[in-house]
Amino acid sequence: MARIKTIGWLKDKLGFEEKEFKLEKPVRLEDFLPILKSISEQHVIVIVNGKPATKNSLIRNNDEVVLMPMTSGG
Amino acid sequence: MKGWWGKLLRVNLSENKVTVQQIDPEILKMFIGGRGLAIKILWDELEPGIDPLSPKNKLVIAAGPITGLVGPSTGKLVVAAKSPLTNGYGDGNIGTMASVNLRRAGYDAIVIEGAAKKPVYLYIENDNVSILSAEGLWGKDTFETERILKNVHGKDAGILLIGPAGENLVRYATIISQEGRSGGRPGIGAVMGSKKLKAIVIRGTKEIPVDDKKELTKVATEAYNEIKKAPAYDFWMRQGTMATIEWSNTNSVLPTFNYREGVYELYRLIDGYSMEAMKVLQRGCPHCNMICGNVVIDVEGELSELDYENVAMLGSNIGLGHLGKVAALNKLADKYGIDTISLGNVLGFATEASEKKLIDEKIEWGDYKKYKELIEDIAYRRGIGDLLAEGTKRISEKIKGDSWKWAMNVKGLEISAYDCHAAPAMALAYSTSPIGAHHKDAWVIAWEVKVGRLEYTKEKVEKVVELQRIRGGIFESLVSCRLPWIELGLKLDYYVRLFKTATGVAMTLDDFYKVADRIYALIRAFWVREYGGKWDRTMDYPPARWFEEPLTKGPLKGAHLDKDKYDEMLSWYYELRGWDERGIPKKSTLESLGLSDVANELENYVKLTP
Repeated sequence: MARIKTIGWLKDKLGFEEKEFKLEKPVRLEDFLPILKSISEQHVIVIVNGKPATKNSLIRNNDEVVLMPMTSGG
Repeated sequence: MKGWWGKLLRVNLSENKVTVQQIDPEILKMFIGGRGLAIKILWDELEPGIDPLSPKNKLVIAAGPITGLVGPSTGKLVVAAKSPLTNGYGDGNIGTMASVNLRRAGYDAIVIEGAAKKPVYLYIENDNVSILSAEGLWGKDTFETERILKNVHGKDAGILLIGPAGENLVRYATIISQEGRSGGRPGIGAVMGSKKLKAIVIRGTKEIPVDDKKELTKVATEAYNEIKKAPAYDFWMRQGTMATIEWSNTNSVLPTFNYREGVYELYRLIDGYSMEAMKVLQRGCPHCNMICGNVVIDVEGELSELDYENVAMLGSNIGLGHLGKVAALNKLADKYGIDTISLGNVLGFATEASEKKLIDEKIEWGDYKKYKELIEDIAYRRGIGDLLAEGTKRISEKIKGDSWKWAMNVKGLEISAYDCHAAPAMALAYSTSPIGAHHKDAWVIAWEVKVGRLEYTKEKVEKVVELQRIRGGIFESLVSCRLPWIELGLKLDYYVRLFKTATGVAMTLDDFYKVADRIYALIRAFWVREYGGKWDRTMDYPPARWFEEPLTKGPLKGAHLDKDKYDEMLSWYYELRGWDERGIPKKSTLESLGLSDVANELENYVKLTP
């Protein structure tokens, strides 16, 4: 299972806060979550297993994925 | 001149004298306005080495060429002076109707000099300027004072004012407007208090001259529409900056227990979702269509406007996981006119000092009642409040022990709400910020999380400089809010077009970057002139805690900054800026920025590298 966690407005866009998914094979993140295709890479931070990644990164079972917005911190 | 009025209002409170002066158009092109104009005035006019709380200091209030005009979030102004907290350059910006009224009254800036013998306030109505008695207002909090002044001068007047903290010279007192809009973290409110100036009330009814009104309106309308189309717009309107609590905790950068940790187990109780559940109204700065002032009812039954910085600093950083209580402390700070970032630092620092028995006062983490008393003591400089009103650097020098390591400031200005145990670029951004540790110039941490936390690279240094040019240079001189650009992706080109249609002056982004570099070099020159032979590169170091005490909790447990690698990044930063290994602009750099006169003056204090 791959676990995907979302933060901030991405939670609303993707419709979940944290979910586990069983993957048949490695898949590009934005193919698995097509709504990400409508969001510019510069507006989203992708972390896979604690390391920087992108919407194009392949995800596999046992991966921990975090999707966060770029924010400005007030 | 279009866009700018080219006029400065000078008020000498010692002599009860008001004059209007022309500003050289070349100066406006070189420094734009806001922060740029402020540092130019302070560099030219301040005698080096003065006591910032003496009548010799000057308070500059400066708008920019698009301030007050139609355009996204253009209702801001800059307040600046020599800082009583850092003894260096200090400034802050405020979103307020005072900025719109200042420009409609026919001025780009106000300079307040000298000091009144008795409390006064300034009333500006276009060309008529009066210095009026404020004896009946002195001692009153900012909310009550504003209510009274609005009753007298009308609800549409723009008002800047101080509370008891400014009057009592708390070194991190701010200037307040519109019930809790606060600016001037490095004690600019105390400078105003030292001049016995309680408030500035402005009413302006003139039309600001612009080069192409039709085109300006068109560009502004396009920009407003772009903002509304951003994917994050709806969520931003719900939570504003409060969404950052969850973000910071997820990334282990939420300041917790005086920056010992970056995660807080009760963060859900103070985050944006908790705020949404308590929200009763929303308000914002003039000309903004993405208003972020979220107002809740606090535990005392009062309205309190929250944002990320004040909730993190008066919440997780002091171990207070109750948003209603955090809101009440925030309200108290706004009433007294105290900077909530420095306040959260001071309270966290005092709690740790109490824990380590470096002070006699008993203070426990999360003790709402005690913190409430302490805030009042600070505002009135009563008991231990007199010491706490000095800020963490001075308190640390007094209580000694190893407290200098966890006095969380740079150059004396307390750090804002991002822990940097595992964020070297953000630590560099804090440490090279032109006013001491503040996030507004180069909030690089989101980008740093995106590209990799723990590396020390030239790319990170380049990003810090790029953000300083945009945030600390373009936005602080125009003066306009950075949030439409950074939060909702509004293209910078809109600001270039707004500037062009307002002033008729065509400038590219590269031209703006050069202005930003000039402003940064001049601010650095100001610091060096003030510190003279005492200036060295360690002034640009973050606190020792981040180097020496690793995080003990969260996914980044064990992380800390590496001093040698940080130092290498700092050298790259200096190289990129054309500053020498001491962090002092080289003579050739100053000359290339059109600051030869500054180089000549600075050589009276330090030997410049060619």
